[in-house]
Amino acid sequence: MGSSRFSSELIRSSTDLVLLSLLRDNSMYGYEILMTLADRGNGDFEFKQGTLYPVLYRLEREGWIRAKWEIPPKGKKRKVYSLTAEGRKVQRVRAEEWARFTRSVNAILEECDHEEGKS
Amino acid sequence: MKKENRERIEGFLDEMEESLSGSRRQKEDIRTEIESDLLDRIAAEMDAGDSEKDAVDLALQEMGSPHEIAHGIDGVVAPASSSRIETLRRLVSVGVLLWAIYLCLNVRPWSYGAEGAATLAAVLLFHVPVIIFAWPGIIWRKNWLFGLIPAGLAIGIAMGVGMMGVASNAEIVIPMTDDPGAIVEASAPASDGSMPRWGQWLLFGGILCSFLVILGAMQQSQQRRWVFGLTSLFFLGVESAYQWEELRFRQDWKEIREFAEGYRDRRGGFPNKEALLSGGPPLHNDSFLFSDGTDGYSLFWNRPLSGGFALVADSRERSIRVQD
Repeated sequence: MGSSRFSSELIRSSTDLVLLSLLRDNSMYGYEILMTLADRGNGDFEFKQGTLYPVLYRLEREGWIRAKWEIPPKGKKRKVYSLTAEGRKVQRVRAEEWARFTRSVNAILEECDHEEGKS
Repeated sequence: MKKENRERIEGFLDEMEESLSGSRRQKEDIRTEIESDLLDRIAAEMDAGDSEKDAVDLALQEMGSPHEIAHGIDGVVAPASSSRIETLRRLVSVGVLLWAIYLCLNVRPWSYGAEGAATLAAVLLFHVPVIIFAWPGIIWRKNWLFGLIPAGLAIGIAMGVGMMGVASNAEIVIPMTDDPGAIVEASAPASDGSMPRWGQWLLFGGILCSFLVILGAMQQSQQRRWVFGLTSLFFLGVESAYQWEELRFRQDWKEIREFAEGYRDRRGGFPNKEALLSGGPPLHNDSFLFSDGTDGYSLFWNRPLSGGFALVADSRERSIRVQD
């Protein structure tokens, strides 16, 4: 995943959670997902459009999201993704896990900074 | 859009489509989706002030290599065949499913007790993987090693649990019968140092279990729940019906024994057929009681769930057997 701001490892490890969270409240199509990511991530969370599709298809295969073709009265045929009940559960679990993880990392970093300040 | 820009987009999409495996319909769907998003991106860049050429350049650059996209998608999308092959696979799955159900219902009455349950489980363990494999889209490419670890555990647990409480060869009862039509299933002792029969069954069941675990690891969790849930329900449904039937047979046999033993204590010999039928306990089933009035008696009990099969117990034998 080509990121302009965060390392690709960091983006990769959080992609599933980010996409599931985006789709939790709204159904979106591919390009819309990319735009929303860039918007909500303050432009820092970006990855190449081409890398989005394998991730979406994988989440669909896992049964966490479902895809549906929509043809608006005016406009192009679009494949719209939404969260399944299973995906909702996975999102909740992963979000909690992520919160615990970041709290833990932050605590370590703060402690290290504190010790560095003392010395 | 200018012709040259349109051609570049088409060229990109053609290249990606050619690199994709899967059915024609799958490829078309993927192409339509990516094309739609690509055109949205180009339109957005042009709205932001880019020229058409720059917008196309940027959009294609952001997409990356068409081969890499195709490779990435191929790795996660279940390979699909043509609709004709898919229909054929569905028919094969349904055929195997119906055959498995038929086999289960016809094999189970041939055995008794835990052995009947083991036979039923073996039939299911053998057929369920075939059904999972044949139905299109259930099994898809994933890291096989991911499933090998639980599979190894499964085989170990299956062997370990199976060996717990197994009687030694010296204690195994071998039912005897003179009737060649009688179906007697018993654990034969290993006389030549080879693996005993129960060991072979354990190994067989363990291998099938581990194979099923591998397949389960390659399924969506929802599909896995459906497959294992329905299989377990079917197993429990059939097995509990037969266990209930066999429980009633044991109850009848117990009552007959109590009556016959009491009769012998009072009169010095077992009751004859007439005495058993007239003075014996009421039975759950249209049973046949046999007694020559001297050294023993037996109970033939037609299996209500399976016509043509009877459970047989004899006071001179140490086991219950099934007779065709």
